Amino acid sequence: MKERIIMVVFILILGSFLTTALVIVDNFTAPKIKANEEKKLQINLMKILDIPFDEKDESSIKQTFTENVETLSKGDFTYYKSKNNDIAFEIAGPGAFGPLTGAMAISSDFERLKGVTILSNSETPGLGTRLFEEVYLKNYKGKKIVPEIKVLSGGGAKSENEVDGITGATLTGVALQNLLNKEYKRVKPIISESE
Amino acid sequence: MSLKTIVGAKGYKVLKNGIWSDHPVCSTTLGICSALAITNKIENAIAMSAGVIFVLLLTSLLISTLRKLIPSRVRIITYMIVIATCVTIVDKFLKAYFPPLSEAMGPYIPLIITNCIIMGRAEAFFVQNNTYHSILDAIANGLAYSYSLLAVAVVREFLGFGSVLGFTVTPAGWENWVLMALPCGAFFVLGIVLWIIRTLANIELPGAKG
Repeated sequence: MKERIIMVVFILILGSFLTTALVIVDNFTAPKIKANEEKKLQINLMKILDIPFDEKDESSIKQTFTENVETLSKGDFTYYKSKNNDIAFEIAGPGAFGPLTGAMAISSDFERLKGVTILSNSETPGLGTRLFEEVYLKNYKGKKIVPEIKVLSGGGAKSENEVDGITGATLTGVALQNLLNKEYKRVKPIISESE
Repeated sequence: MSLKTIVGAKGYKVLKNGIWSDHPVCSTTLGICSALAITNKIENAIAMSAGVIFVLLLTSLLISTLRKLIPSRVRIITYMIVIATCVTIVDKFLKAYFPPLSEAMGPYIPLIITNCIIMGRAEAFFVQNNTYHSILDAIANGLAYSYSLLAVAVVREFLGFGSVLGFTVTPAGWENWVLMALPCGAFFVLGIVLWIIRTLANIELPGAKG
């Protein structure tokens, strides 16, 4: 009996000691981690909103962002507006193998895509993840999102609503297509109401 | 003054065993998972090695200091919570100060928790030896892990990306050997590294005669 009590007490004491250490470390690093994430989001928002900035000059990124992008919110929902009234917002939803998060930008008339970026994913490296490369996502620029955007895994996109997918990334392509359509439909009423 | 007189006879043996004759990666094939996964770039290998060395040092310090207090029935749980704490510290530190590196390493930093070298050394050495020798053992095993990782990473980055530490070193007509950048390349290179070190260190495996 005594042995068991010692066991429990030992683990409890060690556990609380280590937890305290972690809390201290967390206190130091949390603001820095948050700032890093914010910067990453700002960089990506500026990329899809077509705002030129100097990626090498760390200090100017935040300044360029605040000068060119207006951050607006409506309830819990935050969106971003560039000087020529293009709108960008964060998106999140299921991918083929895990959650996808990113941001998309649409033109001021809610008709066309301005840009798409994916910030985190769990897709297959080398196959699904190729869809999230900047070079590929450029194809989405100027495409019509009304009534729906289509990602064709076999290629051969003709109309303004269609984008070529990538062979070997069919499921991820479908996931991306659904994510864009779903998020667009969710966000449009919120923003147009507040405009 | 030789290394032997500085660290003492036992300390010297501990170092030699860890770094060479009882090499954690090459002799006992521990820590293979991360050695295969993150060795496509030298930068990643360095970050991973630094993380593992840090976690090994902190774990050896804590476990060997507490070794007389740890109830033997819960010793594995003790290792786990100590290792998990150290790894979380490394993960937070990288996320805060080296975000691109942390992104490149992905889930492999949190997975240091399951690196068998740390668990293995805790059970086989730290819990039975004094703090001084445990720290020497941690350094030795950490270094052994690091140089085998670096050996694999140098070959893979050179062949797979045509660069060393991110600097292109190959001539203009160089064709990257993509296989080396992919996970399967790691199997080939690690296998060869294992072979070379085992032969040089004269490591004999039980049941592998003839």
